[in-house]
Amino acid sequence: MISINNRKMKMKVLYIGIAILIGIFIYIFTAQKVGGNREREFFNRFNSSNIHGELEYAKIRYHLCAFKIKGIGEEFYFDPITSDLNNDRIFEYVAEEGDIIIKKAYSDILELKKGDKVFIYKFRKYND
Amino acid sequence: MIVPDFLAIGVGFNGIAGFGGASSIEFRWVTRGPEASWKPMITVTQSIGIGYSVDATLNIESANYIGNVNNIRRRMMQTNTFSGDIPTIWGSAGIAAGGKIGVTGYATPNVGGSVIIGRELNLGVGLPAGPFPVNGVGGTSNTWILNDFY
Repeated sequence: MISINNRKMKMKVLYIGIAILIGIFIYIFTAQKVGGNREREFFNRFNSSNIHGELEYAKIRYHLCAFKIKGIGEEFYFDPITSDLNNDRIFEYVAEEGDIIIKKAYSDILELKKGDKVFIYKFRKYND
Repeated sequence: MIVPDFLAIGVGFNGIAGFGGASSIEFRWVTRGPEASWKPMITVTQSIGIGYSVDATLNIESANYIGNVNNIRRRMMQTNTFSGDIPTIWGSAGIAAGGKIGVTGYATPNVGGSVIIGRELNLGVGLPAGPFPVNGVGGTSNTWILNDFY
């Protein structure tokens, strides 16, 4: 009797474990799908935009770098690459209100002008 | 998965009995990718969960980015659902009878086109779940970068 109860308990724990694992996979799959679509839209909008203006702010959002240009009503999102081109300075740490952002449509680089210094950022493209 | 992309050590408090919350503060290091450095960042994590876990622990953590190592960024450490991020999910199990030893696993999806998978060792003090010296809990969490020494 005891061994039957033990076996039922083990089976119950196993089923619960399997259900939790399936739930985790569904969650991650759905999150990747929803987040991936969002990231593609962000990248397409950023990539096709001709941006030239004064920075209002830069911050972390959606695990990306979000920034806003004064006079433009929308935020842009991109994934800048820290490298020798920008003296290994992380974009959202170095970019401040009043800095100038220049990115031509479909360009591979974004320029951050900070006083007389220029930091150049390449960025991750969607699906890289 | 053998070499961790992120390391952390910190302290945390769980107050989950049925439903509840947890908080932790930690030093984190990014060990691979273009922004890797010995300089840490300080992060704070706030969680909600269901199950049972009432404890105070030292947490030792490692995590991996399941994607191209060149895409690893320090900003990946921040997850803020209040500004639209998809939350981290986590689960934890342990033995608690005054002392506590446990393990925690977590996944943060939609980070740089991929997922971060992490695991933690939790050592400290904890209350047992009634007559059973066990803890088991799962939930979601947010993490904020308070300061980065990079």
